[in-house]
Amino acid sequence: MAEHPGPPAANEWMIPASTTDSLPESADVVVIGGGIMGAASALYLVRRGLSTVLLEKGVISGEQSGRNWGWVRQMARDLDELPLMMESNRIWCGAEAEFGEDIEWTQQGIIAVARDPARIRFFNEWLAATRSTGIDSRLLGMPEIRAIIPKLDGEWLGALYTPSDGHAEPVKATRAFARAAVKAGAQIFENCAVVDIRVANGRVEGVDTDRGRIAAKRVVVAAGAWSSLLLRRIGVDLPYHIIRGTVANTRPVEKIADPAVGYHPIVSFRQRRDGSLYLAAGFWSDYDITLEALQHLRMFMPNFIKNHRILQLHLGKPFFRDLGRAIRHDRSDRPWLRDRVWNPAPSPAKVKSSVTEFEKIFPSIPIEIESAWAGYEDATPDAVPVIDTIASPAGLTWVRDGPDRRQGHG
Amino acid sequence: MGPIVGKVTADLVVDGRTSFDMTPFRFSRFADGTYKKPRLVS
Repeated sequence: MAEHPGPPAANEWMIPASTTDSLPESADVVVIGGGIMGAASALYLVRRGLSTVLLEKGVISGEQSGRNWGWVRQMARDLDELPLMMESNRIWCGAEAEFGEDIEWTQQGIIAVARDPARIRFFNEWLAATRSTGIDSRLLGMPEIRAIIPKLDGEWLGALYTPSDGHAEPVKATRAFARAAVKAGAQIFENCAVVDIRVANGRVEGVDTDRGRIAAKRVVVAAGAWSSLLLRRIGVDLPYHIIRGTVANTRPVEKIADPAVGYHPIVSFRQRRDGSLYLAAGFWSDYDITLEALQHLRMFMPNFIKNHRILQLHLGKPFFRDLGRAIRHDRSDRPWLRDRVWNPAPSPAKVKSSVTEFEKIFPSIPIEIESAWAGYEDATPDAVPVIDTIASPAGLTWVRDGPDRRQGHG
Repeated sequence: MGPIVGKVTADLVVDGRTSFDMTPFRFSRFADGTYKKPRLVS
């Protein structure tokens, strides 16, 4: 945890008392994972009247939910996801008032600028396909782009712009949902890792944790990049691979734009209230290959081949961790018990390229990097989320986002 | 998508269904081969 500082506040306990409280013997439902999906699940479950316990092995929002770009994006979403995302947008718009917390929410839109005719074609296709949904996205020409991003240099073919999109501070947002869940009656335990999901006679019976056992007929797995490893232990096997996303935080600069700005796949940023930027190397992605991805190469290969231009494959720690476990036939190895807050190294190359590319399109705005961090997401072969109460074992609901790289949007 | 996923999850756990079409998000799509094939990222 100490090698890289990680994003602001992501290493701090949210609920210090929960690290010492004893666990309840039972609950209606146990939620595994203290990211935004786990926190929101706990909130709405407890509001539906279920006694709800959320278990987080590290700290709330310590991993990808606190390490992402902070974009709240309907624009250019997979068409299947759009109805969900439009409803989510409505929740985001009311979150600060509902929770009484500042999450740095701003609904100033997202704009994706383009120089590539193929990108403009994609924008037009997406607009045509979503016309009936009521989404407020529209294609902009150069004068409108200039009005929104006056300092953007050079000529551009166009931009896709969605005024109702927004952005928020990831750690603050996730913790606001978690605190709202606690206020509503959920119990949240940080520094409490699930060792195994207990299953008997085809049904979930609860969880064993490193602090004791909780009986529960319902378990929601929202453990992000760890979900697949945990679920495989009970025979639920999903091919996945791991994407490492690097984000850099700059020192404050002059006002650039109210919307979050994407120049796919080169560089993306959003400007925070203090003027600093959260900057990322667009959709250039580091793919840390897992043993499972190699074993399911048939599923992943089409994506690797089609999008090889933006995917950089690495054989790194996740692969050798998997390989070592497979060679040892070691069922006792649970890496999430060690990596309580998985804090991967940010890619210096990604940070450098994001700065270089930013300064090419904003030559009048020099930037200086304050800090950088990385986060891991697991990705399915189709990069579409899994949100499902699965057939077996009964009582198990799995929620995981699908990093939306398939259509080139993070 | 976080907030709405939480709401949908509560619907699935409590009611066993939700008002959204969740067919694209089924876990079984990988086993039955109905998952989407990747598009070229332009």
